[in-house]
Amino acid sequence: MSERRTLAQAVSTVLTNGYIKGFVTGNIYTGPLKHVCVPTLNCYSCPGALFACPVGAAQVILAGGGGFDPTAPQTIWTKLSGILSGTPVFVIGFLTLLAAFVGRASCGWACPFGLVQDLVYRIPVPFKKRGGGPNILYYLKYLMLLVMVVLMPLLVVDRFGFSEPFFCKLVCPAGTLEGGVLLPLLQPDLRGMLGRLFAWKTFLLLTFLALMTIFKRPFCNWACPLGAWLGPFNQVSLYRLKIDRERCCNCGLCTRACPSGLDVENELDSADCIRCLECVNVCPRTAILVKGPGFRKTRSDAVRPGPAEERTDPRAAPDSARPGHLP
Amino acid sequence: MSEQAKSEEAGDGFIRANGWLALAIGSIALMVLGAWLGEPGKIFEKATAICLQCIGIG
Repeated sequence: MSERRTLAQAVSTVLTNGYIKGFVTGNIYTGPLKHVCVPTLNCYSCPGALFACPVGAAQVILAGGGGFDPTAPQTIWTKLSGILSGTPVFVIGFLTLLAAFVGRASCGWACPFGLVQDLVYRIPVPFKKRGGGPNILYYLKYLMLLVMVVLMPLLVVDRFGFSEPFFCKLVCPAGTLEGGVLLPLLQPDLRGMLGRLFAWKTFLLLTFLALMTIFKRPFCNWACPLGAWLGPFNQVSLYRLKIDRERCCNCGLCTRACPSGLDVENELDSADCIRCLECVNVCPRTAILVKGPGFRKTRSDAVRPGPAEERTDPRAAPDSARPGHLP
Repeated sequence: MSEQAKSEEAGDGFIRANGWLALAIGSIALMVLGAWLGEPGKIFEKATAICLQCIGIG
């Protein structure tokens, strides 16, 4: 499964950054696909990016000052349309539509920066942690979404009423990696413009890269505003995970396999679950199931090992008899 | 379990079971509204220029 997911992440990375010419010339893609966002954190200033980044796009709409004109006649309609045109409703709708079906699955299966984190975690270091780090840090991403993505672009404005995408500017390590490193390499003019802000962003990227060797997905768990938006929908999405408590033998394999560092038995539908399905596939007792159309809801048709078998060989049930197992 | 607890649990189950549908419908409505307000055009405008902030220049 892990290899299959890595392959899916790699394919997604290539497809969303498939503008090969950009990597040669240093000029970004300017075609019609950039009207559309991807459901992952993928910087639109990456030379190969074919689509827009939803976090960047949301900030741009919020920072643009909208269409609210205080000098215009203030009817309810003008006020409403002004507020709406300054709200990223299309981006919100797009992300929520995806999350309504699969929750945070795009983080687990498609995000290029998620792939980077999964790969860097494989680097052997002596003080590697199995989990995702201190619990308190998991709340930081909600603060990041509220403050850096929403409030600052809305409130920190220049004299013309315009603002900036502050998350992109001050934090986003994906932007630094995909745009900040590659573009100045390809465009000599940009190199002369790099200053303190670039140094700060590079420091932040290197810090996250170092943390990625120790913790599982530190950026997704602690700082990603996209994950913060998608995560809560795990609770109500069409496809969800379900655990059969009677069948669970508390072996802990699922928790060890979880790339988000979750205690899977107790945090199955957590907002931090990236729906990678590693837990489903490592479970020796098929106690964790995918619930939703296309997946069997019950295991009545599964070959259930008898008590003696269970004690000696927890993997006795064949794959074909594992409901929720990916085809 | 009391009748009230049962009914509350059933209500919660209903939301968990059908919440995705309400979300999906609401999301599509938001996307249509966003498209009508010209949001993809604004996104295109930003995404087709080099984002200096993203790089760490702006």
